Amino acid sequence: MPQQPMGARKRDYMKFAVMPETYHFQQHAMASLFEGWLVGEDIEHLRAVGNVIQAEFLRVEELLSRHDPVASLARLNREATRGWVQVERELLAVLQDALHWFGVTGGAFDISVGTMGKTMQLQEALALDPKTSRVRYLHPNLSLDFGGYGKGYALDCAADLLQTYQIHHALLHGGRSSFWATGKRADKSPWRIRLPQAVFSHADQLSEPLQGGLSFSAVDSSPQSTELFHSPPSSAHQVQMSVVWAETALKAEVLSTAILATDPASLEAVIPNFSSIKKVISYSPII
Amino acid sequence: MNRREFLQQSTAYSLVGMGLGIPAPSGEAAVKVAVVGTGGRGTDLIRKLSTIDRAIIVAICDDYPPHLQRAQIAAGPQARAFDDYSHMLEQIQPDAVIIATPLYVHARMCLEALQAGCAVFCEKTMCYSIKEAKRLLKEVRQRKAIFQVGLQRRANPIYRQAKAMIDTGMLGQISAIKCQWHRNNDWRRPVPVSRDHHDWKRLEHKLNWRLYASYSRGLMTELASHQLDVVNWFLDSPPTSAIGTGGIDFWQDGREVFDNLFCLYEYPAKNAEGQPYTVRVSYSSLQNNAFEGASELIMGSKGSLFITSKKGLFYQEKRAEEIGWTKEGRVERDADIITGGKTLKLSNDPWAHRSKPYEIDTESNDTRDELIAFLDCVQRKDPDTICDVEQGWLDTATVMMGHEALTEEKKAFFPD
Repeated sequence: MPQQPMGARKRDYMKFAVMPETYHFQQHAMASLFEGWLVGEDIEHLRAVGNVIQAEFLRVEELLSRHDPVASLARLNREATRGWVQVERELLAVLQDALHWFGVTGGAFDISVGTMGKTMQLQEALALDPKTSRVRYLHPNLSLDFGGYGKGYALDCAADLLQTYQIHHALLHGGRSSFWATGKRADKSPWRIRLPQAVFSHADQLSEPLQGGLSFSAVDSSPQSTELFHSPPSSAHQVQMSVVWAETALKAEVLSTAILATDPASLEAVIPNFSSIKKVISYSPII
Repeated sequence: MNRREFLQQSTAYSLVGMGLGIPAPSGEAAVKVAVVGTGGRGTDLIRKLSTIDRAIIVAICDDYPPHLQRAQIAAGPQARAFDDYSHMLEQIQPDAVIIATPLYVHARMCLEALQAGCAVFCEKTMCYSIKEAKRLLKEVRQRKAIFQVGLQRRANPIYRQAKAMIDTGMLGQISAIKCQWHRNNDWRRPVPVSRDHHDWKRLEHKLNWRLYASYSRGLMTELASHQLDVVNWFLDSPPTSAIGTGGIDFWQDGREVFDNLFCLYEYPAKNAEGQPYTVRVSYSSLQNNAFEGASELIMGSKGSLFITSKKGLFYQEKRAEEIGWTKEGRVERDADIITGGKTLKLSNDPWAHRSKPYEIDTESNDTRDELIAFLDCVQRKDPDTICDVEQGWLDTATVMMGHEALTEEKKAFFPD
């Protein structure tokens, strides 16, 4: 959004003191474009909160990225096969949480990458010492990736900040695959997410106003492909898709990712393990 | 469960075994560290400290409860929380104090920690004024205390590599350095109460201290100090003079510090033959355009080095190829212009003189690295830190020269 000199904005504010304003911001983080729309009556406050949220997205990236060599997770991936690595308490908490979701989904939500094969599962290969906040990888090929977790986590961190700074109307997204919303738009209409009809035939099922977290995941299930889509694919593919609407962005992202790795027969057993899930849509069209 | 509850649940596990006197896993006695100032930077330092096994965060201190509560989660339950700095020093008697408070209280807090016998890590800029910096310099020298200023580029492998390249002559004779920190935001922190709240104004000043002249010198002390320290370090000298221009040109929101400023410094140098010459250094910082962000460009006769905290790019100068018709003995040598039907011209294209760059990368976090370096000095009782009080003094003086040039609109000289 083009910025205007503060003086001009302030005069506008004085003139239309009761009219809500919308502040829009963008931030590249985690190889995705994050955006936010904050609604309120004090544009200076909205802008300052936007600054803090942008910094928060970068902070989470510095914690959870495995591609930025300076990030905490990247350091862990480099060093933890050689011995115990002391990490931030927050990273330890995130790892504990990821292990929790691994168990809840019967192993479908799995942050491990690399070639451990079938010799070890994540719980066995990842050693955590909460007393000293240390982590060790017990398999030489273990590496961790928070690709199906990080954006939801970042959005929930941002949601906490919105609460702290009393922003009651906002929409945030990361990479147009993870969303979080509260309240309404400046014109009092609800926040709505619309996926392209061509790739999402269940559009009518998302007609309700968005509150809380929503995550869209898709994977190319063509025989030769292992590609995971983080946004709707644009060319003809046989895909598996999931959309989860939950209380938090993280829970939505974890479940929507896990669904893609869960066979339909097991899905009914997995979903009840997630509390406060509002809606789950899973289907496999050819598009 | 929100994020705070999520993290608190995890840190609750950590209570056992982290008490005082427990050795670090490395076998050496861990350094008992107290952190004062738990805003954004202070909490970042706490997070980095929590990943270093030779440190035990024994106390945190802030007079703003929301920041203290956030820091407690990052530091862990073994860290005692205080709202009074003097009381904390008296009660805890830490080995080292990390000061990440607003600039205007740096000197007072440093002196108090030194008098309590602590090693001190003070965030940049070291002091709010020349007078304070001189007093602190004298005190640290007299005590032979371990003292480090938080200018983390000194610990960054890219900057250390750049320094080595300059010292070995890879850039040739350095003529100019361009430094900048360009952003496009208002630099404001949000206030957690509405404008009509009785405490809004006090909180706004407390949280946005960088914007007010009583607490900070604005962009010069909060941003330029990093990059001017790099220049002092690379050139092995402070500047002799500075001129500048600046103003509050965009964010006319009641702030008292400039949002758009340009300074030119002169640095003394000697060429390969020992002849004196001057290196011209420009510094700019603005807050409504982020082009090229925070970076430095070191320009020498053999090459240019473009550096940021995460990447360094070294461009060798393209040498003019020796052209046949310019050689002596050729009949055409006296001609002013020789044409073979094509136009030869020098390009003013800014990219035309760039060769393919050599890249310098790093895998380490420079804030974490500077803390490790400091703790190492504390453990070894070695006052020779990577950015000691002398360098902190030079950096403060350099920044204050720029501030004087900008605010008094006159040429400023290095202080006596």
